[in-house]
Order: sequence, then structure tokens, then C-alpha cells
Amino acid sequence: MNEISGKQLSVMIFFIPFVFKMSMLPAYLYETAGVDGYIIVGIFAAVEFIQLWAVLFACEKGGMEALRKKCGDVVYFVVSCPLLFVIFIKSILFVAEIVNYVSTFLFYNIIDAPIVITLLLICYYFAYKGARTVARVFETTIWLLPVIVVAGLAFGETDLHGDCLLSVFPNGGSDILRSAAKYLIYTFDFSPLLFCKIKIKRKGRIGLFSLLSVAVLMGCYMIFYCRYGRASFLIDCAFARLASFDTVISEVGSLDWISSILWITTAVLNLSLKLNAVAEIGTGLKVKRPVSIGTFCVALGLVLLKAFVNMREVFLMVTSGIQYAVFGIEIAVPIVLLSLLAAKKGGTYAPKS
Amino acid sequence: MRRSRKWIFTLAAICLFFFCGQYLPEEPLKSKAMAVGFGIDLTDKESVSVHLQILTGSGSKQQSGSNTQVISAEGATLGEAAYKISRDTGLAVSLTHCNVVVLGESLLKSTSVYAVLNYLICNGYLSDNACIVSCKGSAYDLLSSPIGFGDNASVYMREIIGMYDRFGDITGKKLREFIVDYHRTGQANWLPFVTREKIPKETPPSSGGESGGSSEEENYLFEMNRVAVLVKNRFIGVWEAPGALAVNCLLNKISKGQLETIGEHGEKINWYVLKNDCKLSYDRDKMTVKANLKIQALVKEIVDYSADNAHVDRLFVTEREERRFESDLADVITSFYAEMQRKDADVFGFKEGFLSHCRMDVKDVPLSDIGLEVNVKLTQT
Amino acid sequence: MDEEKKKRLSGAFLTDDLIVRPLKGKKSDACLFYLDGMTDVTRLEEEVIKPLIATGQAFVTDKERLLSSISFSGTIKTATEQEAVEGVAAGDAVLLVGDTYYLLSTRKANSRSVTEPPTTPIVKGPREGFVEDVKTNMTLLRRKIRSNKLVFKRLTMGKITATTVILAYVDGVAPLSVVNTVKERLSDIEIDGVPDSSYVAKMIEKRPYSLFRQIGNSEKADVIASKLLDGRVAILVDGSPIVLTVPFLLIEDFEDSQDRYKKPSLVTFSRLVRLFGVFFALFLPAAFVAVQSHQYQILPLQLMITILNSTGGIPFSPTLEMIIALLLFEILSEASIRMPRHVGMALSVVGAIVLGQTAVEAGFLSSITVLIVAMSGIGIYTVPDQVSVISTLRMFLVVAAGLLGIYGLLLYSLAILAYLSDMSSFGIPYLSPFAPIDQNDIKDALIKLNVSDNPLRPFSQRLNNRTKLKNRRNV
Repeated sequence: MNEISGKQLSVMIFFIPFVFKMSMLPAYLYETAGVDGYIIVGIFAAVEFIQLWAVLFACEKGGMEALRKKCGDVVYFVVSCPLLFVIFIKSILFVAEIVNYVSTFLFYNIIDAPIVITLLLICYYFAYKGARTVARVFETTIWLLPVIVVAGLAFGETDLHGDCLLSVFPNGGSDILRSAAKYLIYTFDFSPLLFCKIKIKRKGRIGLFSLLSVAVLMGCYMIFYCRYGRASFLIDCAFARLASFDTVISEVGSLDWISSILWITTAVLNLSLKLNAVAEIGTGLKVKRPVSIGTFCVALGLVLLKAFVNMREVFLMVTSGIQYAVFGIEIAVPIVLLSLLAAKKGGTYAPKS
Repeated sequence: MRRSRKWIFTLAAICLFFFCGQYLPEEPLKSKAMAVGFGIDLTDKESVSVHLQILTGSGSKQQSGSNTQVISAEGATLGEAAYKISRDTGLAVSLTHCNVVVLGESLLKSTSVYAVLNYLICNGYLSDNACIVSCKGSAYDLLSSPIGFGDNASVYMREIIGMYDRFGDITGKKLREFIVDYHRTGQANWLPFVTREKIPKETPPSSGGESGGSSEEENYLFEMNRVAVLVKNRFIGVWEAPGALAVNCLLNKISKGQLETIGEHGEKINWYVLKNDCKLSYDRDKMTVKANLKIQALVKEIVDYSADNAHVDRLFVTEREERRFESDLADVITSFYAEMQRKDADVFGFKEGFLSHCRMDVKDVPLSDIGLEVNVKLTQT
Repeated sequence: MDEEKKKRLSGAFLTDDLIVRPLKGKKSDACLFYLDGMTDVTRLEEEVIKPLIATGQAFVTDKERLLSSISFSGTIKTATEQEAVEGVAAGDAVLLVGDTYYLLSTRKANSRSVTEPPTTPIVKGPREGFVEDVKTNMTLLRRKIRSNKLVFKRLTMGKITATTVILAYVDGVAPLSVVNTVKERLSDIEIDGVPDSSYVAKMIEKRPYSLFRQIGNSEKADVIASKLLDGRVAILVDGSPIVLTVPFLLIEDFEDSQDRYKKPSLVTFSRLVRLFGVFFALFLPAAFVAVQSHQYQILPLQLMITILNSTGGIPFSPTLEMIIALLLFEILSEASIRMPRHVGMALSVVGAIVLGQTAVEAGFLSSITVLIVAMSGIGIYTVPDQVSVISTLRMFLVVAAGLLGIYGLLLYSLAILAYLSDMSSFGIPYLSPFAPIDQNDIKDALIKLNVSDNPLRPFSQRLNNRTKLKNRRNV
């Protein structure tokens, strides 16, 4: 149910860091770092891949499943609960991002509840089916990329001013530190992979896709800042503005619906991977899969719809002090996992191939 | 038991889906007021008057034609005015296909231009690529002008500005470009300034023995070769076609331009400009911007009406005439820039350029201290 | 002759078409049992009865001597009473000599001749289609694969129908795990009757209620032979011209039997056309409803004006209008399958032209809706085996699009994709080679390679013998 092949992993590591950094973050990064935001996000993504390698190393040793079998349920519970907290906070942010995009650009003057409920329904279904299904659907979405490129070349017009990206680091390195401190919540999303059984044959491919992800992310940010220059802070969803053909509705409509489909799909899959991790945590704690995912989704929905008035409040919450706890846990869990597995050397565990 | 549980959950999910769908009411196209043009005027009572050019459908079996109607409402804000239009027409206003935003002269000459545009910027459905123009008189008059050809005023304007490549002396500005320029150093902006001209359309006299002349219906042509300049929110003035040409040469792309120069013997030489490419370089020591402008053009016509034989038996130009073309064009640009310097209107974004290229913050430096050297290189095809 | 046994065998059949033919001998009697119409009586007369009577001897009970006295070309074996009953019911004849039942294989092959199957007409290529007689079908396969490696395993299913089911595979190519799994699943079935192969398919599928089939089928011998050579296992059912193949992948429905005989570049184009056809058939009605109801910014201005004019006076919402149009199309489609041929043409005119045109003129439906439904309806038939599936799915997609626009359409599509990604057919992922991607198989999936460039069997299955082409001619 949670087996992922090397090819699927490569596709996932291309999309996972990319998706949620393309919505609200570009505008916020501009406020902190100006047009150097594209360098900041490149550094974010590059550092994120360090976590990826730690996670993959832990997966090779058996991941969380091995921890439960070697160290028992109590240790598993102690390691899983902080991860559950992290997934909850991140899921709140991710759902808010998706809802912000859908309710602003795909609909007109609607309430958020139907979007949240239907989104969580579909994510529930994906999580119930397991990481293998999520990985396979990730694989199928890769076919949209050439369609997007062809459609963009055929219908798109671009009017980019490269001057907007100059000059680099006008205020020195202080921008990096400020942005890094303020938007840590957007990094380090690979911990759900700890619950998957991953077969890696060619590590070079993973490195290549990691580099591609960083490059494409930086490229998108550069295009965004070239288009909007100093007005970038006004744009609440960068992806929505970029996913247009940059031409008024003559031959095609204004919405690049292929890109929108790709973004929503990868966002849903990203969220589903997190819910799958919740299901695996529940299974490890002897809670049935549908029950754990269902409870988590209900809690998520209730918190989002009742505790917050709008998505801006969600953003303020996740970028408060809570993000440092999330960041710390994301860093600590793979390290703790590896340490515990190394300490419990009795009985080898190898993931089933 | 397990299968029946699966079916129950599936049915419950479908019911939930249906339930959620009830909160997103289906609003078909026919219940929408599809606006293709958005006009804004400022009234004396410090409120805005919004004029929407709305598609009403042809009402006939011909399915590709359309009629439009301009509907107006007043409100303290754009949103309120748009709401009133929705309320009065019974149709929900939709700006998804709004091609043109027209700022009336009253709004243009006020200090509320950018404040009023906030609504349009935040509106997720209005495309960033909608053209923004200003006009002489009221935006309502412009939008409701009958056009002798083409569907309606908004589409007509959009086609000239946006759908075809740029003419030499017709500029175009998108909403996104307007916002970007407002936020850059210098905060100077320019907009196409549209005026309309009547073209009488004669209809044949009615039958039945009535004497009297033929009746005339008025159609309009729009002249769009002027630019209105704003600095921050302040209206500076309107410049004629050479201003538009200068802006296009330095900032935009021309592919259907035309220029006239005088030949060695006083002939009129008509040039067709195919392409322009401008590179700006910034000299921080001299505080000068060097514009290297490459123009590809071809000679269309050489004629001398003052001579006995207007036909001039050549279609080639001499090197001196080419140099004259280059100098004439450079003069147009530098004289326009000189006027901008007088008004301290950094329409070309030179201050932003110094910040980007030279890391110099020249926000408080007057534009008159920044020089411009234009070097035009003509390639005759 | 054992009279008791004769009575018991006669009594086992309450039917009037049982023929009990006593044979009088000099010292002892024999008796022949067979069902009228099921047995090849001519052969029985010529090869069994006449030689027996001509010898003028007592009917010997010794099998060898009995065999030497007749010139029967089929099989003769001794049988128990139960076997004798089953044999007679299946069309064999039973000869009771002494107290021994001898089962003679005299079944008459009464079936239609081998013709082109009506469901898969082709322009170029073999036209042999399977028939209802399983032996004929086996022969058709043998003629394609003339090798001792072609294995037929016989099973009998159905307590009352006693239907012969043949498992066919190529030894050394088909994975034994699949063969054993199929055998197991077939053996586990205890049912009264199996009138058709579809019964077998429904019983061995893992998800019988799924819209998507997990077992392939074909009526063409060359297609089945090809699949056997690719490592599939075929199931032939007596009485059904449709042969099943396992495992089955979704991509197989996009392949046509003619693909093997046309040039690869043309086939590639055809496959892409089929893919687009299915895509439009499935999504066009729903997308149209979505852009009309919610996301109209996708429409270019002129198209939007056309739609506005077209849908101006329609009394229904876009979703309802589309559902009505689709339902009308489905009704027409169902009626056209069942209507007698001599009224088919006239009713087609009524349905397609009068109904469509009149509905538009009456303002009941818009012309654009009728056009969309027609395009979708044509697109469905690019993949004939998935017609019902696409028809059903597109209805649900229209509802989802009407409720939540492109967002609802996308979520529903993702749900279908998740469902298909999770599905497998006898251990092989259903969406293979696209999910999971197999770079070897994907080369021959939508794009057709030349035979010489495709020397390996599909990697989606765990086959021992991967190579099907060893030496390529180098030009």
C-alpha cells in the first residue's frame, strides 16, 4: 500500500517542494526580501533537500515501521505524536492555500466551506488508498508538463523585464536571514516519506530531479518578479497570475486551465501524502485507517472553518512562533529515528521489495 | 458487511458532494452581465460613476453577432456602483471578459486614479491584461459611441491597441503594467488618451414623396495616438503623436509603424517600421542614459507634390537620407524627454534603471539632472 | 447386458430426446444410449453399429476385443454410471455391453461457420473469428501457434450445464503464477450453469461491481494468439465465441486488432486519435457545463458570445440541459441496438435529425449542446469496448461539473484516477505502463514501434522468457 518506486519518488520530489511555494509565498517573500526572493526560495529548496536525504536514509533503514517493530509501540507513539502535530499545522496551511486559490480565481464570491469539505473528501480517499496510489497519480500528472509547455508556446505572450531582477542583494545578507526566519513553515515537507517503503536504484536521478525542482522554482519566481516588479506584494496568488496566457481573451481564455489543473492536482496529492502519514501513525497505534484519517480530516475542517475567519488569519498563525516548533520537529524526527534504529541493532529489518 | 460499508461510505460522500454543491449556485451565462468595457468617471459629489458595456446577445438566429448596451450607476466606490448595476439589471456583473478600462477625463485629472483602480486590481476575475485608457470627456460617451465597423467601442479599442502588433504612434497599456509602473521609483505613468471623431454616415432618402435631404446617423472613429502622463496620482498633461512614438520606440514593440522624413531634394519619404530594439545603458558618472535604438524599416513611398511630376523615379534612399531618418527620430525622442524633464515625469523609468543597474537611489534626484543620449541605427530592408 | 444398469441409465434422463437403441447379438445384447441431435448418428452407425452387427458375434465384454471389432476413430473409455450420464448429456454415446459402460466420443459439432466477428470489423488483416464450439476455437488457435508449447487445460464448470472451459497458455512464456491463480479461481467456483464466458469473467474478477473490466476479451483468433505470445492466459468457454484473456490492462482497449498490420507511424496517429476521442467523449460535456456555469473566463470572447446567443432562450440550467441531451442520446443508442433492421434506418432519421433539429428549433435544447453531445457520442466509439463505461462516467462528470465547475470535475477525475491506480489485474497494475511508468513498455503503449524494434515481451508481467525477437535484419 505504501510502496514507492525510484521513478515515482523522483516525480514527487520535483513537485513537493514546488507546489505550495508558488501561491502566497512569492508576495510575502517580496515584502521581506524584495526581488531577491527568488534567491531566497532557491536556498530554501536546496536546504530542504538535505532533509530529503536524511529521510531517504531513514527509509532505507526501514523508516517508522522499523522503529515500531524494533522499539515498540511506546517509543513509536513518542516519536509519532510530534509528527502528527507538524502534519496538522502544515495541513492547515496547505488547505488554506488551496482554498484561497480556488475560491478567488475559480469562483466568484463564494464561502469556503464547500471547497474545504470537498477537498478533504478527495484527500481522504487518496490517503485511504495509500501512498502507492498517490505516487502513481503523481506519475500520471507529469504528462501535463509538455502540454503546458506546448500551450504556452502556442498561445502565450510574455513581456518580461529582466531589469526588475537587478540588483542582487542590495541590503547584504540580512534579507536572507529575515526571510528564512519568517517563512520557515514553507520548507521541509518530506517527513511523510518516512512512512513509505521506497525502492531506490539510481540515486543520480533523485539528485537530478532535486536540482530541476530548485531550478524551476527559481525560474518561476524570476518570471513572477519580472512581470510584477515592485507591485509583486499586491499579488495574493502568484501561481494564478502566472497561469494565464498573458493575453486577453482572443484565441484562448485568460485562464491557463492546464496549469491550474496541474497545480490543484499536485496540491491535493501533497496533502494526501500527509494524510497517509496520519493513517500510518494511526495504524501503528492500533487505530483503523478510515477512523484515523476521518478524525483528522474532521478536526482539520472544523479548525479551519470555525477557528479562522479567513485565510489571512491562517497565515498569521502558521508564521508565528509555532513555525519554529514545526521546523524543529521536522529536523529532529529523522535524526531521532536514525539514532534509535542504530541503537537497536538487534535483528535486521529490511523493507519488503 | 465490508462491501455494504464501502457502499454506504461512497453514498455518503456523494451526498456530501451534492450538499456542498448547493452552496455554489449555478449561474449560467445568460444570467450574467458580461462586461466588455468598464468606464469610470468622477462625479461632482465625490462619488464614482461606473459605466459597463454589457453584452446582450444578438437575439437572432445568427449566433456569432452581439449587441451591447452601456449601463451606468453611481456609488461611493466602484464596488457599490457595480452592485447597483447588478441589482437594477437583475444580472450578476462579470468582468472576466472586460477588455478595456476607460478612465474619463474627470477621473484622469483628479488625484484618485490609483485609489479607484484598487477594486480592479483586487478583483480576481478581471484579467491583468485588460487595457487601460483615458479619454477626453466622459467615459460613458466613449463607450456608448456607435462604431461604423466592428462590434462595439470596447472591442474596437482593444483590437487596435492589443490584438495587432503595435503601430508606431498608438500606445497600449495593460492594467498590470500600469500598476507596476506606479510602484517603481519615479512613479510616473502614461496612458493612451482617446478622442473620438464623428464620421457622418449618409442614409438614402425615404420613399413616399417626401422632399428634403437625407438623414444622417453619426458614427465615430477613435483617435488613439496621444498619451496622457501622470506622476504619482497627478495628471501632468496630454502629448500628441510624437510623444506616443517616443514611448513606443523606447519601451514598446513596433511592427506596423510609419514615419515620414524629408529627402535631399525636399521629397516626402514614407517609411514602414518593421521592428525596433532598444537597449538602455546607464552611466552613473555622467548621470546619463544611453539609448541604442535599432530600427528596421523599408521605404514605402517617395513623392514630391510640389514638383511638376509628383512621381519620383526611385525607391532607394541615399545615405544622407538614412542619417536624416535617424536624427529625426532621435530628435522626436529627445524633445519628448525634454518636456518630461520639465514636468519631472520619469515615464521611461530611468530612475528605476539607475537603481537596478548602478545601485544608485536617485528617487529624490530631479529628472532634469538625468541626461538622455539617443543613438538610432537604421537598417533598411 | 446388465438390465439393471440399462434401467438406471435410462431413468437418469427424464427427457424424450434420449434414444435407447438395443443391439441384439447372438448370445448377448448390447444397448446404445445417446441424445437425439447431440450425437453424430451417421458416424455412430458407420463406425460402431454396423461393424458390431456385421461381425455377427456375441457382444464381447472384453474391451480390447470389443475395440478390435469396431472401427471407431474417436476415444472409447470405460465409464462409471455418473460419467456415462454426464457423457450422454454432453453429446457422447454410451454403449452398455455386459455390465460395462463404454463412453464413445461422438459429439456433433453443430455451430456456425468461422466468419468475421460482427463486433470487430477490420479493413486489413485476418478475419477469422471464434465460434460457439470450443473445439473449433482451439483449432483456430492451434493453427496460429503450431507448437507443442501451446497448452490447453480442460476444466468443467457448472453442475447442470457441465460447460467445458479451456485454459490456454504458452508454456515457458506465460507466468505460472497467473496460470495457477486462474486455475484456482475457476476451480473454486461452484455454480449451476455457465452459459457464456462473461459469467466466468464476472466470477474470477476481483472487483465485479467495478465499471472497469479487469479481464480482456476478443472474438478474433489472431488477437488472442498475439496475446498468448505476450504471456497472457486465455480462457475459452464452450458455447461462447468470446475468449477471455488475463491479465488485462486499460491500455489494451486503446489498441485495435489492425494495429498489428498497419505501418507503425499510422498506428501511432490512430492511437493518439483514439486517446483524444476518449478524452473529448468523457470530458467535453462536463467541461462545457463547467465553463458555462462557473469558469467562463476560460472561454474566448467570440465563443462566449456564440454560447450566449445559443443558450439564450433555453428554459433549463446548463447541467439539466446537458443531462437531458445525454439521456436522449443514450435512449437512441439503446433503441438502435434493439430495433429491427427494417425500421432501423427510418427511426435513425427520426431520432438523429428530427429530434435534434426540432429540439433546437423548439428551444428545448441549444444547438451547441446538441453539437457537444454529438461530438462526445462519436468520440465514444473510437474505443468500442469502453462505450458503456464512458457513457456512465460522463454523466457523473456532468453532475460534478454542474455542482462545482472545473474544480468538481477535477476532483471527480482524480477520484477515478485514484481508483484506477489502485486497481490491478492478476497482480499487474491496471494503468501500467503509465502508472507505474515502465520505460520499456511505454515505448509501445501509445506510440507503436515497428516489430523489429520491439524484441521484448511486456515488462509489466514477471515473465521468464522476455525475448520474442532474437535476430533483427540490419538494413
